[in-house]
Amino acid sequence: MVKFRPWFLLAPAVILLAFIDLAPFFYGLWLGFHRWIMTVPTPPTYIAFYNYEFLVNDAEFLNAFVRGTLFAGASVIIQLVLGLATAFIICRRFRGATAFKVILTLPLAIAPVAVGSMWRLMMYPGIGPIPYYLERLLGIKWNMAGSGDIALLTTILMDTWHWLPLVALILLAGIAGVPSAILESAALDGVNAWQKLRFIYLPLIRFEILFVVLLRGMDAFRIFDEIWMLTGGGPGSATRYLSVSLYTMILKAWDLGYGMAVSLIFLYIIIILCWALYQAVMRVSE
Amino acid sequence: MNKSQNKLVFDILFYLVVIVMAAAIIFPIVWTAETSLKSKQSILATIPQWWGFPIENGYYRPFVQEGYIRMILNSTLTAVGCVILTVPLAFLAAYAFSRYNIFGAPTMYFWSLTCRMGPEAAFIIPYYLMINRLGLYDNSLGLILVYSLFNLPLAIWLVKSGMDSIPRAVDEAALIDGASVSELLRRVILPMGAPSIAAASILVFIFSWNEYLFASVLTGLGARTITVGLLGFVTTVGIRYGEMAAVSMVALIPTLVTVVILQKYIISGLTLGAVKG
Repeated sequence: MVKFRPWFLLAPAVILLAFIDLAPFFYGLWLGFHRWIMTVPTPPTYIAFYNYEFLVNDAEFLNAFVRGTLFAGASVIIQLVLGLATAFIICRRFRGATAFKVILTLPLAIAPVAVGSMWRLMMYPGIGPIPYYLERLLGIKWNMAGSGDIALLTTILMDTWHWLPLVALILLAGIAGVPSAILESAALDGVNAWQKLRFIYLPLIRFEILFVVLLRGMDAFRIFDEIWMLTGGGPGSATRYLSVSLYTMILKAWDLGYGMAVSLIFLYIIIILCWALYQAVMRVSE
Repeated sequence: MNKSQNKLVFDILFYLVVIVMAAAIIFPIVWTAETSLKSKQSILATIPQWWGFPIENGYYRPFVQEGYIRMILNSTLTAVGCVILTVPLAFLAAYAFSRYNIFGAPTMYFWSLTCRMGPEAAFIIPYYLMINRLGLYDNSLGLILVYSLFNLPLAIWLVKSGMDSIPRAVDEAALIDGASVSELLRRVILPMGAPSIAAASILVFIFSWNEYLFASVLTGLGARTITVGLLGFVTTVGIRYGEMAAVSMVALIPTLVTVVILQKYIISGLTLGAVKG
Protein backbone atom coordinates (compact mmCIF):
# COMPACT_ATOMS: atom_id res chain seq x y z
CA MET A 1 0.00 0.00 0.00
CA VAL A 2 2.68 2.47 1.02
CA LYS A 3 4.58 1.71 -2.18
CA PHE A 4 1.64 2.79 -4.30
CA ARG A 5 1.11 6.10 -2.57
CA PRO A 6 3.51 8.27 -4.59
CA TRP A 7 1.87 7.14 -7.82
CA PHE A 8 -1.51 7.87 -6.38
CA LEU A 9 -0.39 11.42 -5.59
CA LEU A 10 1.29 11.86 -8.96
CA ALA A 11 -1.51 10.40 -11.04
CA PRO A 12 -3.71 13.50 -11.49
CA ALA A 13 -0.81 15.67 -12.67
CA VAL A 14 0.64 12.96 -14.90
CA ILE A 15 -2.72 12.18 -16.48
CA LEU A 16 -3.40 15.84 -17.20
CA LEU A 17 0.09 16.36 -18.69
CA ALA A 18 -0.24 13.21 -20.77
CA PHE A 19 -3.56 14.43 -22.06
CA ILE A 20 -2.33 17.87 -23.05
CA ASP A 21 1.22 16.96 -24.03
CA LEU A 22 1.58 13.36 -25.16
CA ALA A 23 -1.80 13.00 -26.87
CA PRO A 24 -1.25 16.00 -29.16
CA PHE A 25 2.32 14.89 -29.75
CA PHE A 26 1.39 11.44 -31.02
CA TYR A 27 -1.54 12.82 -32.95
CA GLY A 28 0.86 15.29 -34.54
CA LEU A 29 3.33 12.53 -35.28
CA TRP A 30 0.60 10.67 -37.15
CA LEU A 31 -0.54 13.81 -38.93
CA GLY A 32 3.00 14.58 -40.09
CA PHE A 33 2.87 11.54 -42.39
CA HIS A 34 -0.37 12.66 -44.00
CA ARG A 35 -1.61 15.24 -46.41
CA TRP A 36 -4.52 17.12 -44.94
CA ILE A 37 -5.46 20.57 -46.12
CA MET A 38 -8.32 21.89 -44.04
CA THR A 39 -9.85 23.96 -46.79
CA VAL A 40 -10.07 20.93 -49.07
CA PRO A 41 -12.72 18.39 -48.03
CA THR A 42 -10.57 15.27 -48.55
CA PRO A 43 -9.76 13.18 -45.49
CA PRO A 44 -6.09 12.83 -44.47
CA THR A 45 -4.16 10.68 -46.95
CA TYR A 46 -1.01 8.81 -46.06
CA ILE A 47 2.02 10.18 -47.93
CA ALA A 48 4.88 8.70 -45.85
CA PHE A 49 7.84 11.07 -45.61
CA TYR A 50 6.75 13.48 -48.33
CA ASN A 51 6.16 16.36 -45.88
CA TYR A 52 9.65 15.96 -44.47
CA GLU A 53 11.25 15.73 -47.91
CA PHE A 54 9.47 18.91 -48.84
CA LEU A 55 10.64 20.58 -45.64
CA VAL A 56 14.33 19.96 -46.34
CA ASN A 57 14.02 21.99 -49.53
CA ASP A 58 11.62 24.61 -48.23
CA ALA A 59 13.46 27.92 -48.54
CA GLU A 60 10.96 29.68 -46.27
CA PHE A 61 11.52 27.23 -43.44
CA LEU A 62 15.32 27.27 -43.83
CA ASN A 63 15.36 31.08 -43.93
CA ALA A 64 13.21 31.25 -40.83
CA PHE A 65 15.61 28.89 -39.12
CA VAL A 66 18.66 30.97 -40.07
CA ARG A 67 16.98 34.26 -39.13
CA GLY A 68 15.75 32.81 -35.85
CA THR A 69 19.21 31.51 -34.98
CA LEU A 70 20.76 34.87 -35.82
CA PHE A 71 18.22 36.65 -33.65
CA ALA A 72 18.58 34.23 -30.74
CA GLY A 73 22.39 34.20 -30.93
CA ALA A 74 22.75 37.97 -31.07
CA SER A 75 20.18 38.48 -28.29
CA VAL A 76 21.84 36.00 -25.98
CA ILE A 77 25.35 37.39 -26.47
CA ILE A 78 24.25 40.99 -25.95
CA GLN A 79 22.17 40.09 -22.92
CA LEU A 80 24.94 38.05 -21.38
CA VAL A 81 27.51 40.86 -21.63
CA LEU A 82 25.12 43.61 -20.50
CA GLY A 83 23.60 41.32 -17.88
CA LEU A 84 26.99 40.66 -16.35
CA ALA A 85 27.69 44.39 -16.20
CA THR A 86 24.27 45.03 -14.66
CA ALA A 87 24.79 42.28 -12.11
CA PHE A 88 28.06 43.91 -11.00
CA ILE A 89 26.26 47.24 -10.74
CA ILE A 90 23.56 45.85 -8.42
CA CYS A 91 26.24 44.02 -6.49
CA ARG A 92 27.74 47.32 -5.28
CA ARG A 93 25.54 48.38 -2.42
CA PHE A 94 25.00 51.96 -3.56
CA ARG A 95 22.35 54.46 -2.51
CA GLY A 96 19.11 53.57 -4.24
CA ALA A 97 20.19 50.02 -5.04
CA THR A 98 16.89 48.60 -3.79
CA ALA A 99 14.86 51.00 -5.91
CA PHE A 100 17.01 50.18 -8.91
CA LYS A 101 16.39 46.48 -8.38
CA VAL A 102 12.63 47.04 -8.29
CA ILE A 103 12.81 49.05 -11.51
CA LEU A 104 14.90 46.32 -13.04
CA THR A 105 12.22 43.69 -12.46
CA LEU A 106 9.42 45.71 -14.09
CA PRO A 107 9.79 44.35 -17.64
CA LEU A 108 9.71 40.75 -16.42
CA ALA A 109 6.01 40.88 -15.57
CA ILE A 110 4.73 42.65 -18.64
CA ALA A 111 2.76 40.58 -21.13
CA PRO A 112 4.93 39.95 -24.21
CA VAL A 113 2.18 41.28 -26.45
CA ALA A 114 2.13 44.52 -24.47
CA VAL A 115 5.92 44.72 -24.79
CA GLY A 116 5.54 44.50 -28.54
CA SER A 117 2.85 47.15 -28.49
CA MET A 118 4.94 49.52 -26.35
CA TRP A 119 7.93 49.16 -28.63
CA ARG A 120 5.78 49.75 -31.66
CA LEU A 121 4.54 53.00 -30.15
CA MET A 122 8.13 53.97 -29.42
CA MET A 123 9.96 52.77 -32.52
CA TYR A 124 7.54 52.95 -35.41
CA PRO A 125 8.55 55.59 -37.94
CA GLY A 126 6.12 58.51 -37.89
CA ILE A 127 4.86 57.75 -34.38
CA GLY A 128 7.72 56.88 -32.12
CA PRO A 129 10.05 59.44 -30.61
CA ILE A 130 13.18 57.28 -30.98
CA PRO A 131 13.42 57.30 -34.80
CA TYR A 132 12.69 61.03 -34.77
CA TYR A 133 15.49 61.89 -32.35
CA LEU A 134 17.93 59.44 -33.91
CA GLU A 135 17.51 61.17 -37.25
CA ARG A 136 17.38 64.66 -35.82
CA LEU A 137 20.35 64.43 -33.46
CA LEU A 138 22.55 61.71 -34.93
CA GLY A 139 21.41 61.57 -38.53
CA ILE A 140 20.60 57.86 -38.31
CA LYS A 141 17.62 56.71 -40.32
CA TRP A 142 15.86 54.17 -38.10
CA ASN A 143 13.08 52.88 -40.31
CA MET A 144 11.98 49.53 -38.97
CA ALA A 145 9.07 49.40 -41.38
CA GLY A 146 11.32 49.78 -44.41
CA SER A 147 14.58 48.04 -43.63
CA GLY A 148 14.84 44.39 -42.66
CA ASP A 149 18.15 44.90 -40.85
CA ILE A 150 16.75 47.72 -38.75
CA ALA A 151 13.72 45.58 -37.94
CA LEU A 152 15.99 42.74 -36.84
CA LEU A 153 17.99 45.13 -34.66
CA THR A 154 14.79 46.52 -33.17
CA THR A 155 13.57 43.06 -32.22
CA ILE A 156 16.94 42.32 -30.57
CA LEU A 157 16.74 45.59 -28.64
CA MET A 158 13.20 44.81 -27.55
CA ASP A 159 14.13 41.32 -26.41
CA THR A 160 17.08 42.76 -24.49
CA TRP A 161 14.86 45.32 -22.80
CA HIS A 162 12.43 42.58 -21.83
CA TRP A 163 14.87 39.95 -20.58
CA LEU A 164 18.07 41.71 -19.52
CA PRO A 165 16.70 41.96 -15.95
CA LEU A 166 16.23 38.21 -15.82
CA VAL A 167 19.79 37.58 -17.02
CA ALA A 168 21.16 40.14 -14.57
CA LEU A 169 19.27 38.65 -11.61
CA ILE A 170 20.39 35.10 -12.36
CA LEU A 171 24.02 36.18 -12.77
CA LEU A 172 23.73 38.28 -9.62
CA ALA A 173 22.76 35.16 -7.68
CA GLY A 174 26.02 33.60 -8.85
CA ILE A 175 28.16 36.63 -8.12
CA ALA A 176 26.68 37.01 -4.64
CA GLY A 177 27.66 33.40 -3.98
CA VAL A 178 31.38 33.93 -4.65
CA PRO A 179 33.10 33.55 -1.24
CA SER A 180 34.47 36.85 0.02
CA ALA A 181 37.62 35.11 1.30
CA ILE A 182 38.69 34.44 -2.31
CA LEU A 183 38.13 38.08 -3.27
CA GLU A 184 40.05 39.32 -0.22
CA SER A 185 43.07 37.16 -0.87
CA ALA A 186 42.98 38.19 -4.53
CA ALA A 187 42.98 41.83 -3.44
CA LEU A 188 46.06 41.15 -1.27
CA ASP A 189 47.82 39.60 -4.26
CA GLY A 190 47.15 42.77 -6.24
CA VAL A 191 44.92 41.19 -8.86
CA ASN A 192 43.47 43.72 -11.31
CA ALA A 193 39.83 44.00 -12.28
CA TRP A 194 40.14 42.10 -15.56
CA GLN A 195 42.03 39.21 -13.93
CA LYS A 196 39.43 39.12 -11.17
CA LEU A 197 36.66 38.77 -13.74
CA ARG A 198 38.50 36.27 -15.90
CA PHE A 199 40.01 34.01 -13.25
CA ILE A 200 37.67 34.32 -10.27
CA TYR A 201 34.16 35.36 -11.26
CA LEU A 202 33.72 33.66 -14.62
CA PRO A 203 34.84 30.19 -13.47
CA LEU A 204 32.80 30.41 -10.28
CA ILE A 205 29.56 31.52 -11.93
CA ARG A 206 29.80 29.17 -14.90
CA PHE A 207 26.65 27.36 -13.76
CA GLU A 208 24.61 30.56 -13.86
CA ILE A 209 26.11 31.54 -17.22
CA LEU A 210 25.31 28.17 -18.71
CA PHE A 211 21.80 28.21 -17.30
CA VAL A 212 21.03 31.66 -18.57
CA VAL A 213 22.49 31.06 -22.03
CA LEU A 214 20.44 27.92 -22.57
CA LEU A 215 17.28 29.33 -21.01
CA ARG A 216 17.41 32.56 -22.97
CA GLY A 217 18.58 30.78 -26.11
CA MET A 218 15.54 28.53 -26.08
CA ASP A 219 13.13 31.34 -25.28
CA ALA A 220 14.59 33.58 -27.98
CA PHE A 221 14.48 30.75 -30.49
CA ARG A 222 10.77 30.15 -29.99
CA ILE A 223 9.79 33.82 -29.54
CA PHE A 224 6.43 34.78 -30.98
CA ASP A 225 4.13 37.25 -29.21
CA GLU A 226 6.41 40.30 -29.09
CA ILE A 227 7.60 39.90 -32.66
CA TRP A 228 4.11 39.34 -34.01
CA MET A 229 2.92 42.52 -32.32
CA LEU A 230 5.96 44.63 -33.21
CA THR A 231 6.64 43.71 -36.82
CA GLY A 232 4.18 40.98 -37.78
CA GLY A 233 7.21 39.21 -39.26
CA GLY A 234 8.00 42.02 -41.64
CA PRO A 235 9.17 43.99 -43.45
CA GLY A 236 8.96 41.26 -46.07
CA SER A 237 10.04 38.22 -44.12
CA ALA A 238 12.96 39.86 -42.29
CA THR A 239 11.75 39.09 -38.78
CA ARG A 240 9.77 35.95 -39.54
CA TYR A 241 11.52 33.76 -37.01
CA LEU A 242 10.57 30.12 -36.63
CA SER A 243 7.38 30.52 -34.57
CA VAL A 244 6.15 33.45 -36.62
CA SER A 245 6.87 31.62 -39.85
CA LEU A 246 5.04 28.52 -38.62
CA TYR A 247 2.05 30.55 -37.47
CA THR A 248 1.74 32.47 -40.73
CA MET A 249 2.11 29.28 -42.70
CA ILE A 250 -0.60 27.43 -40.76
CA LEU A 251 -3.07 30.29 -40.86
CA LYS A 252 -2.42 31.02 -44.50
CA ALA A 253 -2.48 27.57 -46.06
CA TRP A 254 -4.20 25.40 -43.44
CA ASP A 255 -1.94 22.62 -44.68
CA LEU A 256 -2.07 20.74 -41.40
CA GLY A 257 0.07 17.77 -42.41
CA TYR A 258 2.98 19.92 -43.55
CA GLY A 259 2.49 22.39 -40.71
CA MET A 260 2.76 19.50 -38.30
CA ALA A 261 5.97 18.24 -39.90
CA VAL A 262 7.52 21.68 -39.42
CA SER A 263 6.15 21.84 -35.87
CA LEU A 264 7.73 18.53 -34.98
CA ILE A 265 11.17 19.46 -36.33
CA PHE A 266 10.91 22.70 -34.36
CA LEU A 267 9.91 20.74 -31.27
CA TYR A 268 12.84 18.34 -31.68
CA ILE A 269 15.30 21.23 -31.91
CA ILE A 270 13.94 22.63 -28.66
CA ILE A 271 13.98 19.20 -26.99
CA ILE A 272 17.67 18.79 -27.91
CA LEU A 273 18.43 22.22 -26.44
CA CYS A 274 16.40 21.30 -23.36
CA TRP A 275 18.33 18.10 -23.00
CA ALA A 276 21.60 20.04 -23.19
CA LEU A 277 20.32 22.41 -20.51
CA TYR A 278 19.26 19.55 -18.27
CA GLN A 279 22.53 17.62 -18.67
CA ALA A 280 24.66 20.70 -18.18
CA VAL A 281 22.79 21.83 -15.10
CA MET A 282 22.86 18.33 -13.61
CA ARG A 283 26.60 17.95 -14.22
CA VAL A 284 27.56 21.35 -12.85
CA SER A 285 25.35 21.05 -9.78
CA GLU A 286 26.79 17.66 -8.83
CA MET B 1 43.73 64.09 -3.26
CA ASN B 2 44.19 62.56 -6.67
CA LYS B 3 42.82 59.27 -5.50
CA SER B 4 39.68 60.80 -4.01
CA GLN B 5 39.14 62.77 -7.20
CA ASN B 6 39.32 59.55 -9.17
CA LYS B 7 36.81 58.06 -6.82
CA LEU B 8 34.49 61.00 -7.32
CA VAL B 9 34.69 60.74 -11.11
CA PHE B 10 34.04 57.02 -10.88
CA ASP B 11 31.03 57.56 -8.63
CA ILE B 12 29.56 60.17 -10.95
CA LEU B 13 29.99 57.88 -13.95
CA PHE B 14 28.53 54.99 -12.00
CA TYR B 15 25.40 56.90 -11.04
CA LEU B 16 25.09 58.19 -14.59
CA VAL B 17 25.02 54.61 -15.90
CA VAL B 18 22.48 53.58 -13.25
CA ILE B 19 20.21 56.52 -14.03
CA VAL B 20 20.41 55.97 -17.79
CA MET B 21 19.55 52.30 -17.35
CA ALA B 22 16.63 53.01 -15.03
CA ALA B 23 15.34 55.62 -17.47
CA ALA B 24 15.67 53.22 -20.41
CA ILE B 25 13.64 50.63 -18.53
CA ILE B 26 10.90 53.03 -17.48
CA PHE B 27 10.68 55.08 -20.66
CA PRO B 28 8.58 52.69 -22.80
CA ILE B 29 6.05 52.32 -19.98
CA VAL B 30 5.79 56.08 -19.46
CA TRP B 31 5.55 56.74 -23.18
CA THR B 32 2.74 54.21 -23.52
CA ALA B 33 0.88 55.75 -20.59
CA GLU B 34 1.30 59.17 -22.19
CA THR B 35 0.17 57.96 -25.61
CA SER B 36 -3.00 56.53 -24.10
CA LEU B 37 -4.01 60.09 -23.18
CA LYS B 38 -3.05 61.82 -26.41
CA SER B 39 -5.30 62.86 -29.25
CA LYS B 40 -4.77 61.28 -32.63
CA GLN B 41 -3.21 64.49 -33.98
CA SER B 42 -0.60 64.68 -31.23
CA ILE B 43 0.28 60.99 -31.62
CA LEU B 44 0.88 61.42 -35.33
CA ALA B 45 2.60 64.82 -34.99
CA THR B 46 5.97 64.94 -36.76
CA ILE B 47 7.74 66.31 -33.71
CA PRO B 48 7.10 64.09 -30.67
CA GLN B 49 4.92 65.90 -28.14
CA TRP B 50 5.97 65.50 -24.54
CA TRP B 51 3.52 67.61 -22.60
CA GLY B 52 0.65 70.00 -23.07
CA PHE B 53 -0.74 67.82 -25.85
CA PRO B 54 -4.51 67.83 -26.35
CA ILE B 55 -5.71 65.21 -23.91
CA GLU B 56 -8.11 62.56 -25.06
CA ASN B 57 -9.31 59.53 -23.17
CA GLY B 58 -8.02 56.48 -25.04
CA TYR B 59 -9.65 54.22 -22.47
CA TYR B 60 -13.19 55.32 -23.16
CA ARG B 61 -13.93 53.74 -26.52
CA PRO B 62 -12.41 50.27 -25.99
CA PHE B 63 -13.57 49.78 -22.43
CA VAL B 64 -16.93 51.53 -22.39
CA GLN B 65 -18.20 51.28 -25.96
CA GLU B 66 -16.47 48.16 -27.23
CA GLY B 67 -16.16 44.76 -25.59
CA TYR B 68 -12.78 45.15 -23.98
CA ILE B 69 -14.13 45.01 -20.45
CA ARG B 70 -15.38 41.53 -21.25
CA MET B 71 -11.89 40.51 -22.37
CA ILE B 72 -10.52 41.65 -19.02
CA LEU B 73 -13.10 39.43 -17.33
CA ASN B 74 -12.21 36.54 -19.65
CA SER B 75 -8.51 36.94 -18.91
CA THR B 76 -9.20 36.99 -15.19
CA LEU B 77 -11.48 33.97 -15.40
CA THR B 78 -8.94 32.01 -17.43
CA ALA B 79 -6.02 32.89 -15.18
CA VAL B 80 -7.90 32.16 -11.96
CA GLY B 81 -9.25 28.94 -13.42
CA CYS B 82 -5.74 27.93 -14.32
CA VAL B 83 -4.57 28.49 -10.74
CA ILE B 84 -7.47 26.42 -9.42
CA LEU B 85 -6.74 23.57 -11.83
CA THR B 86 -2.96 23.41 -11.64
CA VAL B 87 -1.93 24.35 -8.12
CA PRO B 88 -3.74 21.52 -6.24
CA LEU B 89 -2.45 18.94 -8.73
CA ALA B 90 1.02 20.42 -8.42
CA PHE B 91 0.77 20.25 -4.63
CA LEU B 92 0.11 16.50 -4.66
CA ALA B 93 2.71 15.77 -7.33
CA ALA B 94 5.31 17.96 -5.64
CA TYR B 95 4.86 16.07 -2.39
CA ALA B 96 5.40 12.77 -4.18
CA PHE B 97 8.52 14.10 -5.94
CA SER B 98 9.85 15.62 -2.77
CA ARG B 99 9.38 12.67 -0.40
CA TYR B 100 9.58 9.47 -2.40
CA ASN B 101 12.20 7.94 -4.63
CA ILE B 102 10.07 7.55 -7.69
CA PHE B 103 11.15 5.29 -10.50
CA GLY B 104 11.77 7.43 -13.56
CA ALA B 105 11.66 10.73 -11.70
CA PRO B 106 14.54 12.28 -13.70
CA THR B 107 12.80 11.32 -16.94
CA MET B 108 9.60 12.90 -15.73
CA TYR B 109 11.48 16.01 -14.72
CA PHE B 110 12.99 16.27 -18.15
CA TRP B 111 9.60 15.69 -19.70
CA SER B 112 8.05 18.49 -17.66
CA LEU B 113 10.93 20.77 -18.65
CA THR B 114 10.17 20.18 -22.32
CA CYS B 115 6.50 20.90 -21.63
CA ARG B 116 7.51 24.20 -20.08
CA MET B 117 9.96 25.13 -22.82
CA GLY B 118 8.28 23.63 -25.86
CA PRO B 119 7.54 26.02 -28.70
CA GLU B 120 3.89 26.94 -28.35
CA ALA B 121 3.54 27.45 -32.07
CA ALA B 122 4.27 23.75 -32.63
CA PHE B 123 1.18 22.81 -30.61
CA ILE B 124 -1.29 24.96 -32.50
CA ILE B 125 -2.52 22.33 -34.94
CA PRO B 126 -3.17 19.42 -32.56
CA TYR B 127 -4.71 21.74 -29.95
CA TYR B 128 -6.93 23.38 -32.50
CA LEU B 129 -8.22 19.99 -33.60
CA MET B 130 -8.47 18.56 -30.08
CA ILE B 131 -10.26 21.55 -28.59
CA ASN B 132 -12.73 21.60 -31.46
CA ARG B 133 -13.36 17.89 -31.08
CA LEU B 134 -14.04 18.35 -27.37
CA GLY B 135 -16.45 21.18 -28.14
CA LEU B 136 -14.35 23.62 -26.14
CA TYR B 137 -13.57 26.09 -28.91
CA ASP B 138 -14.10 29.68 -27.72
CA ASN B 139 -14.50 28.44 -24.16
CA SER B 140 -12.32 29.58 -21.26
CA LEU B 141 -12.26 25.99 -20.02
CA GLY B 142 -10.40 24.93 -23.16
CA LEU B 143 -7.78 27.62 -22.60
CA ILE B 144 -7.40 26.66 -18.95
CA LEU B 145 -6.77 23.08 -19.96
CA VAL B 146 -4.24 24.03 -22.61
CA TYR B 147 -2.41 26.50 -20.37
CA SER B 148 -1.68 23.79 -17.85
CA LEU B 149 0.82 22.51 -20.46
CA PHE B 150 3.33 25.09 -19.30
CA ASN B 151 1.82 26.04 -15.93
CA LEU B 152 1.64 22.62 -14.32
CA PRO B 153 5.37 21.81 -14.68
CA LEU B 154 6.24 25.28 -13.40
CA ALA B 155 3.95 24.90 -10.39
CA ILE B 156 5.25 21.40 -9.58
CA TRP B 157 8.80 22.69 -9.73
CA LEU B 158 8.18 25.67 -7.46
CA VAL B 159 6.08 23.85 -4.88
CA LYS B 160 8.59 21.00 -4.77
CA SER B 161 11.49 23.32 -4.03
CA GLY B 162 9.44 24.78 -1.19
CA MET B 163 8.64 21.33 0.20
CA ASP B 164 12.25 20.19 0.00
CA SER B 165 13.04 22.74 2.68
CA ILE B 166 10.49 21.22 5.10
CA PRO B 167 12.41 18.62 7.15
CA ARG B 168 11.29 15.04 6.71
CA ALA B 169 11.26 14.71 10.50
CA VAL B 170 8.10 16.81 10.49
CA ASP B 171 6.31 14.22 8.34
CA GLU B 172 7.56 11.38 10.45
CA ALA B 173 6.48 13.03 13.70
CA ALA B 174 2.98 13.64 12.32
CA LEU B 175 2.66 10.07 11.07
CA ILE B 176 3.87 8.64 14.39
CA ASP B 177 1.27 10.76 16.15
CA GLY B 178 -1.31 8.88 14.13
CA ALA B 179 -2.07 11.34 11.34
CA SER B 180 -3.15 9.86 8.03
CA VAL B 181 -1.38 10.97 4.87
CA SER B 182 -4.26 13.22 3.90
CA GLU B 183 -4.25 14.81 7.34
CA LEU B 184 -0.49 15.23 7.12
CA LEU B 185 -0.86 16.99 3.78
CA ARG B 186 -3.72 19.23 4.89
CA ARG B 187 -2.67 20.12 8.41
CA VAL B 188 1.13 20.14 8.19
CA ILE B 189 2.55 20.34 4.70
CA LEU B 190 -0.04 22.76 3.32
CA PRO B 191 0.51 25.50 5.93
CA MET B 192 4.28 24.98 6.00
CA GLY B 193 4.57 25.06 2.23
CA ALA B 194 2.20 28.03 1.91
CA PRO B 195 4.81 30.57 0.70
CA SER B 196 5.88 28.43 -2.24
CA ILE B 197 2.26 27.56 -3.04
CA ALA B 198 1.39 31.25 -3.04
CA ALA B 199 4.35 32.04 -5.27
CA ALA B 200 3.34 29.27 -7.66
CA SER B 201 -0.26 30.57 -7.76
CA ILE B 202 0.84 34.11 -8.55
CA LEU B 203 3.19 33.00 -11.31
CA VAL B 204 0.60 30.71 -12.86
CA PHE B 205 -1.78 33.68 -12.83
CA ILE B 206 0.80 35.96 -14.49
CA PHE B 207 1.77 33.49 -17.20
CA SER B 208 -1.87 32.69 -18.01
CA TRP B 209 -2.79 36.36 -18.08
CA ASN B 210 0.10 37.13 -20.45
CA GLU B 211 -0.42 34.28 -22.90
CA TYR B 212 -1.34 35.20 -26.44
CA LEU B 213 -0.71 32.49 -29.02
CA PHE B 214 -3.10 29.73 -27.88
CA ALA B 215 -5.76 32.27 -26.98
CA SER B 216 -5.61 33.69 -30.49
CA VAL B 217 -6.16 30.30 -32.10
CA LEU B 218 -8.58 28.75 -29.62
CA THR B 219 -11.01 31.58 -28.94
CA GLY B 220 -13.50 33.54 -30.97
CA LEU B 221 -15.44 36.53 -29.71
CA GLY B 222 -16.84 34.87 -26.59
CA ALA B 223 -13.78 33.85 -24.59
CA ARG B 224 -11.27 36.27 -26.16
CA THR B 225 -8.62 37.44 -23.73
CA ILE B 226 -7.14 40.90 -23.40
CA THR B 227 -3.86 39.97 -25.12
CA VAL B 228 -5.75 38.86 -28.22
CA GLY B 229 -7.84 42.02 -28.04
CA LEU B 230 -4.66 44.08 -27.97
CA LEU B 231 -3.45 42.54 -31.19
CA GLY B 232 -6.79 43.35 -32.75
CA PHE B 233 -5.58 46.93 -33.08
CA VAL B 234 -2.70 46.00 -35.36
CA THR B 235 -4.63 44.07 -37.96
CA THR B 236 -7.24 46.75 -38.54
CA VAL B 237 -6.64 49.37 -41.18
CA GLY B 238 -5.25 52.57 -39.70
CA ILE B 239 -4.12 51.57 -36.23
CA ARG B 240 -5.84 53.39 -33.37
CA TYR B 241 -2.63 54.03 -31.49
CA GLY B 242 -4.10 55.90 -28.55
CA GLU B 243 -6.51 53.11 -27.77
CA MET B 244 -3.86 50.47 -28.38
CA ALA B 245 -1.73 52.20 -25.74
CA ALA B 246 -4.69 52.35 -23.37
CA VAL B 247 -5.41 48.63 -23.74
CA SER B 248 -1.69 47.86 -23.32
CA MET B 249 -1.65 49.75 -20.05
CA VAL B 250 -4.69 47.87 -18.75
CA ALA B 251 -3.18 44.56 -19.87
CA LEU B 252 0.16 45.14 -18.19
CA ILE B 253 -0.84 46.86 -14.96
CA PRO B 254 -2.15 43.83 -12.97
CA THR B 255 1.02 41.82 -13.47
CA LEU B 256 3.31 44.82 -13.05
CA VAL B 257 1.76 45.76 -9.71
CA THR B 258 1.91 42.16 -8.53
CA VAL B 259 5.62 41.92 -9.27
CA VAL B 260 6.44 45.21 -7.57
CA ILE B 261 4.52 44.32 -4.40
CA LEU B 262 5.41 40.67 -4.14
CA GLN B 263 8.78 40.63 -5.79
CA LYS B 264 10.50 39.08 -2.81
CA TYR B 265 8.36 35.98 -3.20
CA ILE B 266 8.24 35.53 -6.93
CA ILE B 267 11.69 36.44 -8.20
CA SER B 268 12.76 32.86 -7.58
CA GLY B 269 9.92 31.60 -9.73
CA LEU B 270 10.41 34.15 -12.48
CA THR B 271 14.02 33.05 -12.81
CA LEU B 272 12.99 29.37 -12.76
CA GLY B 273 14.56 28.77 -9.39
CA ALA B 274 18.01 30.08 -10.30
CA VAL B 275 17.65 32.93 -7.82
CA LYS B 276 16.68 32.07 -4.28
CA GLY B 277 14.05 34.56 -3.15
